Parts: sequence; structure tokens; C-alpha cells
Amino acid sequence: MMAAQVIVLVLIGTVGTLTVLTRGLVNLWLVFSLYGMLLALGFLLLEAPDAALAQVVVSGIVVPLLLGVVLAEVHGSER
Amino acid sequence: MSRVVEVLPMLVGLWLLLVGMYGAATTRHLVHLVVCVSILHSGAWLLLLGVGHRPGVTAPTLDEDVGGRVLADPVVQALAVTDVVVGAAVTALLIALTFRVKRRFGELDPREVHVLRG
Amino acid sequence: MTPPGMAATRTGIFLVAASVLGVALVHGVLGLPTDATADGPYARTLAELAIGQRSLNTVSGVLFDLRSLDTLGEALALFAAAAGLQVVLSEHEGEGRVPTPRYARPGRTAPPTSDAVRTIALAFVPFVTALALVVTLRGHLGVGGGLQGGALGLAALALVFLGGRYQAQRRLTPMAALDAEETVGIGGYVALGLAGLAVGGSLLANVLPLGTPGQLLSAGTIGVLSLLIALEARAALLLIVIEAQEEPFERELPS
Repeated sequence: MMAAQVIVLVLIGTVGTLTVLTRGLVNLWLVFSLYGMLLALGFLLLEAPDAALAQVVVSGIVVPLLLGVVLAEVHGSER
Repeated sequence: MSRVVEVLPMLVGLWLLLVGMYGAATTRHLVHLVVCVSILHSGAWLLLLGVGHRPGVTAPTLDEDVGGRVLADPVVQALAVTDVVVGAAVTALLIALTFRVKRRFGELDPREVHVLRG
Repeated sequence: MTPPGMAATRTGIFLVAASVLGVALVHGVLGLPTDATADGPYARTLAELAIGQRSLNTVSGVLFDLRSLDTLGEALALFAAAAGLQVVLSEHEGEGRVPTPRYARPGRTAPPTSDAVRTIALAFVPFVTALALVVTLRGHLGVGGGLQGGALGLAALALVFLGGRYQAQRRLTPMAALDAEETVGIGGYVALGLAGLAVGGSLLANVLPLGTPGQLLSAGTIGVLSLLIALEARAALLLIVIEAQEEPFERELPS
């Protein structure tokens, strides 16, 4: 197995753990988006370009958009 | 040792599953809970891709014929593609449920919402 | 409010249970056979099948021919998610729902989108739209397929939204058109599947001419099903996103 695969997989595990341990909502949004991108990179290195493409679009656009809408509203109502 | 490296994708997937469960069990905010469930879910994708991946395989796209290459298993990759898109729909539904909790109880901490208190 | 002692007990119980589960799962993964899938008769059969389908991307071949019934189930899951969201977010008695979204309420001045973000976001819209079409239509030739193409179609509209053009995004996607798109996507998929049953003898059989591998018009029904799934996925995901965008999250405080 390539060294790049090992590095990215370990990074995925680390950033995933960090995401779970993050409590602030804005930080959570940012770390979770980074996690999604790393996961897409991991899929690419695992020779699954189709899954990587789906993951880039979903975790790069759809989920951040949904969470962003939630964040805007939560922040507005808690201020 | 090399066996551990070979199954590393699956081990990372299991780790994400457990970490996501930990986050869901100790969460203090429903949006955080949605993210934790999503991470738990993504562990399954790594597990699937790990099943179809061996050292030396190439992406399952052909040019005219296989030509001696060893392809990664396209069935689990198709499952992963499907699951990624379904994952977006699951996240959206969970977010909608948080909207409802907020509307009904005016609160996003599961410890403060009496019907969700464990 | 849960007492702190109880929360600690709960976390302790969870950690014990999770470590048992973790040990069992790791044991199971390490016991998996090493040469099950990647390099066996199974893998060779799949590759030969893909060549028989004229689908150079074997993943698309699996999604839209070999296991196209599963993809129909996946499309139905998206359809159900979009419908379920409408049910979950419908109004119930006793819930103070604000009739207009917060950002559309008169008197609210949103900070303007910065010129740089707006220009870049809107400049990329045509390219992302074109990419979505390419990815959808070339699913049987290279990386891509209907699911990814549909999500990219949503991404193009998300860029319009990010560019600060929420009204334009809504004008580009009237609800009636999205409903029609979903109907065409799912209905077309089922109709093609039934046609396969009538002509080829099995549901979703690949009945169209297969053509030459590498050509845009080849691989029979794979390209058509891919396009229909792209329509369905785009419409369902857009309905979900629009429903979330419209949600007036804030409760009116009782005065």
C-alpha cells in the first residue's frame, strides 16, 4: 500500500475524531467540510474515482449549504 | 503488520463508526449530533471501499479491454456511490427534524428537551 | 437537566459497550479472506460483463445495468426523503411559525455579498452546469454517472445562491418544474424498466442497441437511465435544500 494512502487514511481518522470533539458550531462546520474533502481524497487514493466525485459534490456543496443555512438561523436566534 | 496496513481502510472505517457513536452519546447540541451521525455513516463507506481494495488494483474503468490489470471491485464502489448520495438525503432529513425540535421546544440541547432526555 | 453524575455513568457504560463492539469488529475485519474480490474469477467475470455492456466504466455498468433495480430503490429513497421532508416540516397546531423567512422579512438588511465572491460564484455557474451535463452523459465512458451529475446540477444552483442571488435561484427552479422533473425521472426509469420486461424478458433489461464501446451513443440503456437518475437526484436534492432554505427557524417570542 502506498505511503500516501496510509497518510491520508490516518488524517481522515484524526480529523474525524477532531470533528466529533469540536463543540463550537462554526468550527464544527469548517472542520466537517475539511473532513469531507479528506474523505474524497481517500476515496480517490483507494482507486474509487466515482465515489470520490460523488463525495466532493455532496460534502463540498450540498451538506455545507444545508448546515450553513442552519448556522445562519441558529446564530440569528441566539444572538 | 502488513496485514494491518492492508486492512487499514476498514480499520479507519471502524474507528469512525465508534467515534461517531461516542459523539452521538455525549452530544450537547442537535446540529453536532447530525454531524456525528454523518461521520458514523461515512465509516461504512471506507469499510465498503476497503473490502474491494487490494494493493496494486487500479480504478475500475476499462479502455477497450482489461489488459492484464487487476480492477478494484466495482460492486462495492457502486454501493459507496449510492450511499454517499443517500447520506446527503439522510443528513437533510435529520436537519429537518432538528428544525422541528427547535420549533416545538425552542431548544437545541438534547439534555434540555425532556422527550429526548436519556 | 441531567445530573452530571448520571452523564458520567452513561459515558462509562457507552465506553465499555463500544470497546467490546470495537474488539469484535476488528477481529472480524482481520479475519476477512484476503483474496476474495479484487483478483478472482468474480472480478474477471465483472470485467467481461462490462465489456459485454459496452460500458467502459464498470461502476456505471453495475449501477445502471447489473444492479439497476438497486438504483431504482436509491432513487425512491431520494424521492421519499424529499416527500418526508415536506411532511416533517409541515405546520402543526401550537407551533408559532413565522410566515416569511427571516432574511425575507421587511426591515432586515442583509450584509451585501462581497464583489469577489459574487463574481467568482456567478462566473463558475455555466462551467459547473456544463460539467454536470458532461458527467451525466459520459457516465458509461469514464468517471461519472447520473448520481454525480445530478448533485453537480444542484451545485450550479448553489453557486447562484452563494453569489447572493437567492431570488434568482428560486426563479430558476419553480416548484412545479421540480415536481415534473422528479416525475419524469422516476416515471421514466420505471417505464424503461417495464419496457425491458416486455422486450427483453426481465425488468430493466438492457434492450437498446449496444453500439461501439467508446462512443457517446453506446451501452444501451445505461446512458438513458443515467440521465433519468440525474434528473431525479437533482430535483429531489433541490426540493430538500429549498425546504431548508425556506424554514423560518426562529420562533416568534410570545409577547
